[in-house]
Amino acid sequence: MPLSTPKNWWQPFNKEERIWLYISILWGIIMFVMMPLGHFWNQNVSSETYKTNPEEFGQIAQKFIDRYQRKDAKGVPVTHNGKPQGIPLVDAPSKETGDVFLVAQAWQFRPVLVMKKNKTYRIHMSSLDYQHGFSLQPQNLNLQILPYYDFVITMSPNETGKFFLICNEYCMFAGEKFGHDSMVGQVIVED
Amino acid sequence: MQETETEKRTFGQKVFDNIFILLALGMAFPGVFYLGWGIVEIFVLNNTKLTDYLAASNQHYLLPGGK
Repeated sequence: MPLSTPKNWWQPFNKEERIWLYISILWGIIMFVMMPLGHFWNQNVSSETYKTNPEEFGQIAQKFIDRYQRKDAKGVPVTHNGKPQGIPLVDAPSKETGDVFLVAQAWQFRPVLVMKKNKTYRIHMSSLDYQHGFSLQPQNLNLQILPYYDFVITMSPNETGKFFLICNEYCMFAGEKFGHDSMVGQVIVED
Repeated sequence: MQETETEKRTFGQKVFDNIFILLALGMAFPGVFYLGWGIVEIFVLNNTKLTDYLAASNQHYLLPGGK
């Protein structure tokens, strides 16, 4: 039998081919319908957003930090590394008490959030400069953080431990300094 | 086996035989749907200001001048 294609090689679909095509089309339709249906089954990330700007969001986040930053026995504000210039450690208020604010800025996440297991939190996040990524590890929850755009997620941590936020959207360098690769934040969940 | 030209080429077969139609469909279909999806997303974007939300949710201490 020659390897070249016969002139009229086409034939109407046979039964098996037709079945596979129908299955493929049906699966494509199911996948397509799942996108809007996901909104009703709470499978998608919240789409709650507000308009803001970097200056405003920075001020709001700072007020939030001033109010909720953890203090030691002497009343000294606690930071992630124990140094005054470290990133503030904040006892995040749960949903019933207030909202939580997280700033992404080249190249840090501020503050370090301390949350309680099985409590629900509303976390506002925005960027003060470039586009950043919010990648909660090792859970691998990924979101974008944009300037001028406040994005709110509702989160109920169900396990204790120290979790990391990694910027997974390449954030531009400012001047001659690069820092995207070192942009790591923390979330601490306690009992 | 003798090839015959009497058999009718089905519409589906015509489509699958022409890579340019496949290419056009492959670009047009996601193009139209993603464009539509994007337009829907733009229309459902919330235009509320964060400060208005904070005022409405009684978080006045976060507002400019708030305590």
